Amino acid sequence: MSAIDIKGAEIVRGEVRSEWIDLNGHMNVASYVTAFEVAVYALWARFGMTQEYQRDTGNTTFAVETHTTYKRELGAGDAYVISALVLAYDDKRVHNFLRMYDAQQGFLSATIEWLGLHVSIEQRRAVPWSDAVRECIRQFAGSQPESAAPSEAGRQIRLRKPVFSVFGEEL
Amino acid sequence: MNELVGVEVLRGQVLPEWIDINNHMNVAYYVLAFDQAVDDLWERFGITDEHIEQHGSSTFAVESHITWQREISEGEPYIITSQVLAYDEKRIHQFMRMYHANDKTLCATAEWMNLHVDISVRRVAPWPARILDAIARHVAVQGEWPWPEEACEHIRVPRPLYSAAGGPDD
Repeated sequence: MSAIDIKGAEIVRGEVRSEWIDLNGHMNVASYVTAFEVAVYALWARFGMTQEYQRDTGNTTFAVETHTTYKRELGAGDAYVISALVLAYDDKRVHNFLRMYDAQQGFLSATIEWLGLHVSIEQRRAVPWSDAVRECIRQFAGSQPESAAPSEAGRQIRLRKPVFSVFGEEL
Repeated sequence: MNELVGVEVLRGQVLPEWIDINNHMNVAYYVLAFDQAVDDLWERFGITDEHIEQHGSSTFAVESHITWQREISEGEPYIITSQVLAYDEKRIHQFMRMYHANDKTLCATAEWMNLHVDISVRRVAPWPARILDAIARHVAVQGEWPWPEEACEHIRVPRPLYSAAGGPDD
């Protein structure tokens, strides 16, 4: 695997499946979300939110908003790598930014902003992060080399009262 | 009962394989359902499978913005409407709403920007005149609705031929 230059922390690698290809001969819009969702779950696992966590605490996350930009086509069998950046979080929300790169050539294929809400599965209501998860998110955000919000990250998806935000003081 | 906003383009039902571990419709399948609605809207503009095949003229999504408003479960019926927000010579910016078909509550919204492309060279190309005309006729009669509050300001046509009132540039 040739080394490519990626921004953000590498989260998952994968390959475009043949069933993800649409009439236009490229990876379909919905399949990007499927691929990004796998990365989101891998990121949650780094924050301590594994399947066991779900089972033991009865809590999970629901996506409430996403914003995808499609930059360059991927075809069947193309290898990709997805990286993540935390843009902001608060007591029960985390606003992530993920990039999907072509793993061979290194070009950016797509980006997604993902606003996840921590919820009680039984009550279907938002609940605060546990202290342990919150600490993991804080550490992850604190260790990010990148200090500026990516140009693709919009102004619309954002937290009103973030605990951490790469958007800085203008909020 | 709520009034639907937008032009009805598609009715469907949540399929069993669209349900995820959280026992509700999975995020990616909303995008799939909205993508199917886009295809139905395109058909009204003359962008059919035959058109794509014969003329090498199709559209690629360049940006989408989804908001989830309430959960929807297996077997539940839904309606998707479309409101064209703006278009120019080679782009179209439209806003879709997914309603629960029974109580007409809003389940999700999707803001979608598409480019018209020449499939043979995979590059942006102007709409064929007949399709541009069909889009113009559609927006003239689609109805008068304000710019949706969910529609974010950075998905936009820079120099629109048509733009719904209340947009980010107003």
